[in-house]
Amino acid sequence: MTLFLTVLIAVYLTIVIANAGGYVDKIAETEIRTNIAMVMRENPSFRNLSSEDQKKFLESRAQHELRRRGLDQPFPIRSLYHLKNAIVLNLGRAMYMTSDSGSTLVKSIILERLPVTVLLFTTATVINFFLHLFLGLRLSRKYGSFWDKLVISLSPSSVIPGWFYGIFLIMIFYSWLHILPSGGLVDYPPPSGTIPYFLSVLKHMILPLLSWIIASLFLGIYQNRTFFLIYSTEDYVEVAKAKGLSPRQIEYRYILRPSLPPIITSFALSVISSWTGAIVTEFIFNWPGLGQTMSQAISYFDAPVIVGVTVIYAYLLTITILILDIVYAILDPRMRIQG
Amino acid sequence: MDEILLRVKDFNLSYRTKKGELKAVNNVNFELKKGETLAIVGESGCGKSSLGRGLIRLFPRNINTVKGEILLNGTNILLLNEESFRKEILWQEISMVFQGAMNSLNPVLKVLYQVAEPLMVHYSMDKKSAFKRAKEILGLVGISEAFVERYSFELSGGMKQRVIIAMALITNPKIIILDEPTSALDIITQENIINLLKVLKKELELSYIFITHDIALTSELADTMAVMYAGEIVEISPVEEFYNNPSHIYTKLLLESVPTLRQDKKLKSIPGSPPSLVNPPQGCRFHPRCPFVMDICKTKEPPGVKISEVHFSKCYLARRNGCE
Amino acid sequence: MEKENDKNEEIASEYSLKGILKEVLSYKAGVASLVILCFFLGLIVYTVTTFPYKEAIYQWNSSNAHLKRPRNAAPLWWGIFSGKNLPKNINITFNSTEGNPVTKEFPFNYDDFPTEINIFFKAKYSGSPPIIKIYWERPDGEKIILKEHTIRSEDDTLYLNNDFSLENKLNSEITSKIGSPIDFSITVPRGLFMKYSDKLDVLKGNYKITLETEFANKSDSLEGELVVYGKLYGIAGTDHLRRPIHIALLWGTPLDLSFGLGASLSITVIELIAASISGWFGGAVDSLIQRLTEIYMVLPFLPIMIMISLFYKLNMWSLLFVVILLSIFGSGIKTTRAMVLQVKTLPYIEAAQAYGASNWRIIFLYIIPKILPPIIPNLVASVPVYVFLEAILALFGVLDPTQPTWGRILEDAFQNGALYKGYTYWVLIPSALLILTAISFSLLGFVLDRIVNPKLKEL
Repeated sequence: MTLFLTVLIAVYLTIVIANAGGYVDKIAETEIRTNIAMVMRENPSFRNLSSEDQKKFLESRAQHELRRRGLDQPFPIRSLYHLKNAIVLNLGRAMYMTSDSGSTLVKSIILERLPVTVLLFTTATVINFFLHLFLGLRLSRKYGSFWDKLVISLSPSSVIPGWFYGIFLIMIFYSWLHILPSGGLVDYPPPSGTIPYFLSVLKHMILPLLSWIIASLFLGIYQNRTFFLIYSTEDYVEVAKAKGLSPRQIEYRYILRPSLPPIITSFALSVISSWTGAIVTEFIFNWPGLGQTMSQAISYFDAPVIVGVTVIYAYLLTITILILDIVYAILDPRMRIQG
Repeated sequence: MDEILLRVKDFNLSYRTKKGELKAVNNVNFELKKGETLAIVGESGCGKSSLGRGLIRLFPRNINTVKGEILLNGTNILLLNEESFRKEILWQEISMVFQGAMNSLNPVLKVLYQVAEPLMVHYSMDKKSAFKRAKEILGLVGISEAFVERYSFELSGGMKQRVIIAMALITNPKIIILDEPTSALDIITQENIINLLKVLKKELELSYIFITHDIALTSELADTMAVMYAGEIVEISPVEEFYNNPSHIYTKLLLESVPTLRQDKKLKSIPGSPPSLVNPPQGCRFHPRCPFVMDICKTKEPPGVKISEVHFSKCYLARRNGCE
Repeated sequence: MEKENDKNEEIASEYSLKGILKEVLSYKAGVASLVILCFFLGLIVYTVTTFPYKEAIYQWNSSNAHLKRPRNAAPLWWGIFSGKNLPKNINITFNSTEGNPVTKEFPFNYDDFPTEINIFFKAKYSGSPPIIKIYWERPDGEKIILKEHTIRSEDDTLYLNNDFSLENKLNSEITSKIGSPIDFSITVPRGLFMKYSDKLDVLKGNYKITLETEFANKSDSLEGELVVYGKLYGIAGTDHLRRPIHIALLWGTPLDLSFGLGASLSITVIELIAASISGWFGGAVDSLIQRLTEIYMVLPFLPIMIMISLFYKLNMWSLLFVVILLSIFGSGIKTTRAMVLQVKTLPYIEAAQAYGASNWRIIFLYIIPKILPPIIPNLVASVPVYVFLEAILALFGVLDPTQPTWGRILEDAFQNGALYKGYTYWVLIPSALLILTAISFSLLGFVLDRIVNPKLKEL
């Protein structure tokens, strides 16, 4: 699939960019040296050597290893090596950070935080999609009404990103009203028992979700409503009316279904661009996901983690595109038969 | 054969537009007998499509006033409430064949489904039986089984038109309104469709209201011709009288503008363009373009003149012509 | 014939600047957005003319320029919200040439205490430094010796807040005077200005400060400045480094807006050309650009931006360049390309080919002008996106800290816990500016969209 090739190239580019300053090289080198040192320490005959000899031995092994993997080769080839690593998720070790389980492998750090990000992001996406769809549908019936005008005039509000609303939500609900927490995943100390824990997570999800929903709400409803209005002027809708279908049947079979493909396309594009906002939202709300990992890595200047997170984001985006392609194919027979 | 199915009395339709109230259909009167094909001809924008759709209460969003009576078997269907109209009359007594060139078929539903839909909606038939019946009808109009489970974009223009005809037939209506059913088709396909319509009319005892701008076409199918201009019916006559003894000046000019193969005719066109229906001309709506215009034409609307039992004309010069 | 002329006029007026302006003004939203934009324009002009960039950078980054300003002070007008009369900065200068001892009197009628009290000295001496005695007289007549001090250098400052001996002295004296136990701590500013009661209250009235100097030589001189730091300062308050926030607000306007406009314009232009080339030439070029677009879509924009700005320490303008580079083959190309494909089939393009126009001529003179109108609303509406991007990058701490932008203010605010410490103005004022920018451009984009998109007009 061409998508795979695309990902390959994208990750390669990421690495090239990261490595222009030699960072990724250092990461790999450190990794190799650490590995060798670890292996060697297990070896009893090694321990018997003097420390100087140990150092020399390690160095020669390291050099040997580097040469074997082609890391003394020119830049583009080195990058290919790093690429291979990135594809199999061998992302090296963090310099300062550790995962909650104590491992310094970048991979574990990221994989630990990943589900949290996916939880928030997916929930927000799903809620938004259905909210915009059904409210947009309802609104298209009431063309020209007060609600219609209200939504139209409020849609410019969506240019303000979700995390920005998040700041204000924190100010209102936390600093002023003290009802909701300002961030984090659960209360501290974390409640015991699955249900209280789950409820606590829900409580903490309210504000981030709310900020996301508010940010995209009016524009999303407006766009969908406009879509439905345009699609309701199609000829086959008139034919359906003439055939005597009920307004509900017409709405769902003749307006909603044909307009789903373009709606999903534009939704897909917005989902892809909202990943960026997701990162910042996690930062604002101290949500312990990838975004926060990234910002922590920045403050520690932990290069391996930074690069690792970037690569993972590339994968996440790819998966998103993949899912959307599948959904699209299911919905539009034109795609199925022609493409 | 003489039973009158549909009687349209003083039918008026007006729309709201940015420029004002548009009087699309003005005091239209006609009757449709059982087994009859009534052709309504006129230029683009004369209101014939509005009339056609208005007959099945298919009004656009900006509809303003609906006046008059449409009597179907004695009942004024304009007065029925939406529910009962939809459940008893619409598509069951009268249905409509739309223009194939339009996007008349839902692109994401299979054509079999769309043809079967009226059965499921109006007779609560289950899918299986509805599909079975739909396949029968599609076969009747010439769509083979192979194409029945396709989507509309996979069909040719002629096939789409056949599907649309099948869709209109499936509930066994007595009256079918056809709005330019062949306008976007090539001549050969046109012939085929017209022949199909003829066959169907005979076999299923249908009555047609055939709306078109193509006068030559109607000569094959029509029993009665109605000429529409600027929202009004200006002449109704049986088809032979229409061609041999046209009364209204507009009708005469229309016939003269149709090119014929045999005669060595100079191509004539009618000067001017159709009037605005927001501010139609006073008196006779055709007077600005009429080569025989008289003073009275400009001020007073000509009354309808019954030249014979079956011939009606709205022209001050009608009596004179009819008597000659 | 009349109808045709009308139509032609319509088209002509739509696409001339005057016509568009008129139409924009016919919408309330259009008027609102233009008003806000004029406001910003005015702000920019004001900033650039009265406050040169070099000066601003110097002030923003110097540690000394703001010593006489209070830390974390709220804007002057913020006092309304607290209901109390909050103290403003008071500066009193005295010079030994005016007499020795020299006394200055000043009123203090505020409802709240100053945050700090410092005295800055400038001494000129040869040999032994002067020795000073400072007396503090309260409105209730009580006079205390504030400090006895030997000047340490030519520029000497007394940071009275950190003067523990003074604080202890005040503490013991005042607690004994009050008698009953108190539930608040006595800091130097509180101690000097409070009523002697068990409730923390300001003693309002005229205060006197007296400076008595002992010079070693007659030719020695001493200048002093007493600064009683208030809680309010300036139009927008001050930050944790005592810098007046309005420096960054003012200069943030041209910086942020030009960042946003620059990014938006360049990206749109390049996308336009790329999409036209892709759509017009088709074939291999098209496929290449399409694949490039797909790759771009997979690249996570923000993480890469962060990576780059972290690893390579860029300043704002190089960052702008990178942003542009990373965005040009984004999703906008797909929609533009679809439009190009539609325009490609228009008969007058064929006609141009027939008379032998070169490909480039067709692209630039025929295709691009035709697809330009629908793109403009998008261009306008995307400006705030890039302005917010700057804010995001600043929040993550990857921007150049020497440049005073709105994002910078927000970042400082968050780093110093503005929301938790109640310095809400620190966050609110730059946010308000960001929101205004966003709304004005977005409204304008909406209005332009309705004007330029005939389909939407009917709706």
